[in-house]
Amino acid sequence: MNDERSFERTTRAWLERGANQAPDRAIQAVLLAIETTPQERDLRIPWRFPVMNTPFRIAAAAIIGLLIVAVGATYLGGGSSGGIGGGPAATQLATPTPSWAPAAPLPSPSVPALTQTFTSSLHGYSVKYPAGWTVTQATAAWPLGKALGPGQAFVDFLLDATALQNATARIGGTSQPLAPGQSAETWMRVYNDGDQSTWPKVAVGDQTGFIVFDGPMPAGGTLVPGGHVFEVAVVVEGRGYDFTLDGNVDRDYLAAMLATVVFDPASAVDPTAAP
Amino acid sequence: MERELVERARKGDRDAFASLVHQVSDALFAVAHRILRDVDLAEDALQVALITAWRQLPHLREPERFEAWVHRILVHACYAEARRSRRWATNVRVLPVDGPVGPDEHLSVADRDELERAFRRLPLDQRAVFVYHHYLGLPLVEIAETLGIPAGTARSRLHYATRALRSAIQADAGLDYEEGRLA
Repeated sequence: MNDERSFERTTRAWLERGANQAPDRAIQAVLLAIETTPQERDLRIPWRFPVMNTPFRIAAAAIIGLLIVAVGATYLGGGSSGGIGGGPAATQLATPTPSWAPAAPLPSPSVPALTQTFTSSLHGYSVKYPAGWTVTQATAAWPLGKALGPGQAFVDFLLDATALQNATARIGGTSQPLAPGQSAETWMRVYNDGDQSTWPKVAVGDQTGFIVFDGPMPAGGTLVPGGHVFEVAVVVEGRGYDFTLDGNVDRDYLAAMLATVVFDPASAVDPTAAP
Repeated sequence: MERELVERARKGDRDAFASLVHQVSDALFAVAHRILRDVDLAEDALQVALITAWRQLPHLREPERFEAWVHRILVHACYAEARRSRRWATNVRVLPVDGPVGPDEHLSVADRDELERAFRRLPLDQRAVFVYHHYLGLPLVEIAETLGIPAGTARSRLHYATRALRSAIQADAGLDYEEGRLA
């Protein structure tokens, strides 16, 4: 590590280590998603028309000239055009259609009847959910230090459809034992670098959980464009739990589902330490 | 990258876009993995980037620039994933990066660990420039163009990243020396 060449060799060798092949499931998920994802419309005017002969140029110049005059009259002419009572023409000129369209507002979610009970086979809790949802049990323990995200094997998932592309709401749940000697406060602080005192609270069964994430997600980050993601953390009897709810959901939806949670930390299954 | 495929995909041809996905996804994933140092985050960033690319493809003016364009989208997806993971993650330990072992005759375990720790302390924008330069071997001008930043900014990000990684490794070497002397 004494010279530039050695540093470059070392860093290159280090960077070479790592995955080089995109997982098939990720590609399949993308191909599935684009089946139902519309492209944005390209409404920009091309910089040049492919063919522009002299009469066309004259006509184009005349149109542009008229537009300039119209805009000038709108903004500089005084009268009603610049005020609250501006006419429709002024409104149209002042608010051109954007070349991209934001996601259409979602309909207000309504909380369905929670008639079924899901009991996690690994994570020590149960939760009520609506009839017709699809349940995917976690198949692995939640490793310490592992980031959470949709589709991971250590998260139980309940979906309001049989296939992801048709779903509009999803809840995930997982848990892990606190490290030896770790307090609930420390786990929560480790869990999230925010200030615990500022996190909103929500009832999770008979416990109080903290909403550690509450916001919209980037494209592809939630089930539906314009959807919402909530993440709630809570510690019960030496075990840290995490629940995420995403899609066309709101605080009421979150509160209704989490209120039905029943904790049973003693039933959780954790990997035994290697001898 | 076939210009015709990009043109077709721009017009909404999903099969053409699927072909493009198969062509670029490995390279995108490899870059995302190296920037984010986490397979799951890289997978999420890849998905977000490709879906965003599909949605925004009609706005791409130069089809021959598709690959650079999608790399720029990927880097922004990596930034977003990293922000999200800070909210979602419990990650306080330095975790090993999964994946096949590459050539490492120049790499001791201590170097590797130190690089990993130091790299994770770098801001994302510095990581991105470092990866494009040292992993993909892109010159700074091309990196700047790909990421949509001034060349001077790319140069300074690379400089700071390099300096931080060098310092970390040198500090580690110094510590080894100190320990050896005390022993």
